[in-house]
Amino acid sequence: MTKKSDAILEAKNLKTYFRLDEGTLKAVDGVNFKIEEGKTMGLVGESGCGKSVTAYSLLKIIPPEASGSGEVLLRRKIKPGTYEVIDIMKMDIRGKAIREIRGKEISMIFQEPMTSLSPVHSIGNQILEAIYLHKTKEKKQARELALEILKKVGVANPAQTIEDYPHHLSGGMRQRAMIAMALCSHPALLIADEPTTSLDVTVQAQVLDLMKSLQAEFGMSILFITHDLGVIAEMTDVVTVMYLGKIVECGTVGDIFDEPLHPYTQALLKSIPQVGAKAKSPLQAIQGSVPVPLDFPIMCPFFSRCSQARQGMCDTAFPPETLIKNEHRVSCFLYSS
Amino acid sequence: MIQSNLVEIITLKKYFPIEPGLFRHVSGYIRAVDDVTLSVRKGETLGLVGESGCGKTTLGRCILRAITPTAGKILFQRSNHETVDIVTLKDAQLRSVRKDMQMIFQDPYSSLDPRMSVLDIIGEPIWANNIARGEELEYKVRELADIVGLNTKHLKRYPHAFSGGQRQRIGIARALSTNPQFIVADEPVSALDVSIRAQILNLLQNLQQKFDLTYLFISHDLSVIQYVSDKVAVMYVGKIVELAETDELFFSPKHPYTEALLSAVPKANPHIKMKRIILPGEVPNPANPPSGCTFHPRCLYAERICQEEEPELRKIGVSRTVACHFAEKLNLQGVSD
Repeated sequence: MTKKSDAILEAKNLKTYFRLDEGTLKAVDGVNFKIEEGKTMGLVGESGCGKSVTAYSLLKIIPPEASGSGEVLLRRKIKPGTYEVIDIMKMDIRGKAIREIRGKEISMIFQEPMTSLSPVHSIGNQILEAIYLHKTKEKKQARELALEILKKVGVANPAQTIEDYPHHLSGGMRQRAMIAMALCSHPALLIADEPTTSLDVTVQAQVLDLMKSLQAEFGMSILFITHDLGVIAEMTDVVTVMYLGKIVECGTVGDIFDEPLHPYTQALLKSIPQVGAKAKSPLQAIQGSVPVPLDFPIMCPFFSRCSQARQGMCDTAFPPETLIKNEHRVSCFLYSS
Repeated sequence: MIQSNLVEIITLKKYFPIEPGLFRHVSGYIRAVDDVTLSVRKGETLGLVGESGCGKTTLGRCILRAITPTAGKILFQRSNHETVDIVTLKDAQLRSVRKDMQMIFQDPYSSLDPRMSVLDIIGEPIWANNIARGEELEYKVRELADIVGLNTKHLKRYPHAFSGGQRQRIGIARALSTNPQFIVADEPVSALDVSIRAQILNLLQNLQQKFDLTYLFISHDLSVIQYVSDKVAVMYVGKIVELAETDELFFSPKHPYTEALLSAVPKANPHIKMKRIILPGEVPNPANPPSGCTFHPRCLYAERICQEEEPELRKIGVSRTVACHFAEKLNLQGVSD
């Protein structure tokens, strides 16, 4: 029997609400999950489901008009064998404590490397900034570390790339530079928000391959956010499916693909074209589109598009979470007794 | 021109001059489309696949003469069976031929004029081509809106009031307004959410059957290409490297680049643990491509001749062409069943 790894991060009833003139936008509405040490959790959903806001909320990177609540518990190693559990949500966003977490314990990489890298600073400058903040202020040592990490992410000529500016590099190279920046502090958790969506497919294969080998080497956990089910199948151990700010289903990657329970998950899997033998079987589109989560009433968020929806039940309350087996959970009235 | 072909592209070239400096001295050329020969049969969907910079969008634009080719011919068979060469048409004739061919664009957010109502957007080509005016025009627009699944009550609204999927429908309705025979669809679903893509792909297929349309479907997404296409052409740095019937290409590719592309696509099945081909290096600069076969620096199977001699796009088998010196000898891996 394999020993279950400990959770290095746990989100409990995480909420991020935006109070707008038009009403309250519940971007993240009571989300619970655990990320195990050394494992990859996939967070899948379409635009407006709240997956990116969830990621930002974990590090309290939310705009001032948003209000967050809930707990984000990080299990942190103090020294070999000793751990402490701290709640990021309780930290002051301007304090020293949270700066020890952001970019150090928990690092993040983003979708569009061109817009998240500073266009007016060299790559070297940006990596060194991360190193000075979290590793060492000694210039020579820092530069050596920068070269080393660039080499590790597969940059062919680190000494040249360190002098380059983002616009000199291709999309794949920029993403590698971002990964290098995120990894110089050896984080326990890497949050990757659609890291390969804007890349060509052969470059995506390179970057995913790189992420897997770095994960094995650094022993880090990854929270992988994407809408691409193929990438989810390849990269993740467990999967959480989000819709309109809520988790509708979660389980191991095998469970989600082999036995999807929630009508949304089932419909999503039937609506995507897949490379292979079943290519010509007709796609079953999901009718309608994702509603705006503005002042959304208390009901199942998928009601308006669900082929199995029951009037009077699904539109009157939010379905409770049911544990089906082991780690497989679903929020749907079809399964609650 | 063969009777059953709608479009025949013959040795088409589009080179963009590079003019650095003040004196506009041409220092070289970007060979965006480099000697492409291709045909599209009436009523079929030809998929054009490749990664960024391969020239597929430029090729699509050349066919519609949205940009002027540098050399070559594009023969088009009009509905009255007259054959014209798009490249050499004079303005007045070109305007007339443009009714027969239309384009659907990738980004539903930037391809619609935000200051025109939907009615005007769909109706503009009808008005501009003197097909109808006034009440008759409005009637035609309502009919088109209905065919593509838009609510005809909303036609006086502006694009921002619609979702991505709906905007794409507006773009499709507009493309159909002149009753074309040929449509170039340039990444029509790439910017849409996963659950909406199936709706639009199904719509495009229905329209093809209903109106006997011929499609050139451009995409970087292989799963979409396999779903919609009858035949597929693979492009790499301005050249066609392989052209074959869809199933043949996907199950038994003959060009190493096609093999690598197919291998790189993440499969939505967690149980497939295929050994992936990770291509080394990056896509070369189209202004300065490698000698001989453009793919040779990244090719696993390259030999001396590949560096020295550019392979011709030659016929192997009934309906397949490949540009590789070793096409008959290599035993390449396609997608599995």
